[in-house]
Amino acid sequence: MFFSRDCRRTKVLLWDVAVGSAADSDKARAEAHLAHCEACRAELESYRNTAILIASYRQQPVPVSHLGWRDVERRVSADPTKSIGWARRPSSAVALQFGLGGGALAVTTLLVMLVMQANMNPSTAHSGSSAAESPGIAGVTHSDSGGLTGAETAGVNSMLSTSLVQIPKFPEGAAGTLRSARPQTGHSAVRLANLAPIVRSKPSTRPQSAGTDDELDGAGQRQALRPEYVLASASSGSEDDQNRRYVIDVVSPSSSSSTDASEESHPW
Amino acid sequence: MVVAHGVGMQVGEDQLVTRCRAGDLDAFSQVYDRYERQVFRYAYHILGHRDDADDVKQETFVKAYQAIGSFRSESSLQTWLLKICGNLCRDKMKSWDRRKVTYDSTLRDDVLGSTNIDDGPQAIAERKEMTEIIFKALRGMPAAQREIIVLHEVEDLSYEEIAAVLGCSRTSIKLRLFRARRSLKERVASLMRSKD
Repeated sequence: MFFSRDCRRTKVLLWDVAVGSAADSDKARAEAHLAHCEACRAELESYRNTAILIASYRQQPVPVSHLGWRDVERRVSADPTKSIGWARRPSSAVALQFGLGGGALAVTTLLVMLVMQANMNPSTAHSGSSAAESPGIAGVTHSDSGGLTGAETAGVNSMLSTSLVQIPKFPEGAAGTLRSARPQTGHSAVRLANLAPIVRSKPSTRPQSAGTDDELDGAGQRQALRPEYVLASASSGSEDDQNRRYVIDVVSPSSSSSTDASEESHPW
Repeated sequence: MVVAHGVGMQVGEDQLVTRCRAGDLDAFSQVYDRYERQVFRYAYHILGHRDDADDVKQETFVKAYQAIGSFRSESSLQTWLLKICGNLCRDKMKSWDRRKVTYDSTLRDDVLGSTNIDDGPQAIAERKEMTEIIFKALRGMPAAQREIIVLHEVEDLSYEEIAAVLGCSRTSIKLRLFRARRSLKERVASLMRSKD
């Protein structure tokens, strides 16, 4: 339906005209238009009916409320923790609870990690923590320089002494035959806390393409089931030092030919 | 005289608010006595159901008591309470939608209120019919339009007061009121046609 500009202006005024609250100027303008517009007159009539109904509805008594002040008073008094206004906002209390909860979670996680690391330590898993029963070190070298210097050996021993897990120490000035080593270019330094034995659970017949010298025999089979400790140089020296990786072959009298079930049942 | 009464009431309201902030339940009971009828009426017209309107009214005053510290007297206590009530009504209607609750839009005799004993049976029947039409028309409107119709046409609030309750500008209120009236008029016309 097409409405003229005059119609649109008048329609805005129709309610006020219907209830008699229009200003005189608006009323005169609306009446001038209504005199020749039947559609707007019909609409005015419809507004009048609605206004009458609304007026009747407004006068209609509203039902009585069942609940009174006593109910509000009881509810307000029942919860004394809910104080008035801003004070009831529990932001600080909630933050404290979350903080304590988060701290407890972090401590629990740390403890679980420590227990798991302790279980990973072969000295405790196989022969207890006694120093007399701990395996000795047969030899340590590294691939690119041909042997550990005294300072390096002392550094490794220092790291081992501060380790959270019990790891057999290198003898002072130890230098031996090269057993295994892999240059790990681009490999980030392994933290001492991450030091873990690599244990092969079963001799594998699958050829290993990237195996170390002693991991593969001539036929390409895995030879021994010995725990090895993989260390990266933790010294904060040159990039070369950072990328240098040692495989420390741990040989104990009881595990030199170790294919026993205790190692096979290792979690890894 | 009107101005003097208004100022006196404003001063009284400020004192009441100050006492309420201090936790004075007696002062809050005066606030309750002053506004509970209007809050209930507003909730009833929005929700169309007495029990729910009762619940909303009580919840409004509990929330008002707990939040009176945040009331900064920028608006009147009346519009502040109606604003809380309107928010709770919207929550209630949302919970109806979630629970698929529908109420019969016909007007029950018990909610029609008392009738004048001098009215004849025909007058009573006519009034009931008229009330039922507007009741149904209001029920069929969107909640936002119903709110503004109730606030202006039933509760007789000014544009400024409605703007404070609904949190929008005076110009917006005028436009929304025009649309709501037009919608109500069309619904009433439709219902009257179906009666005939």
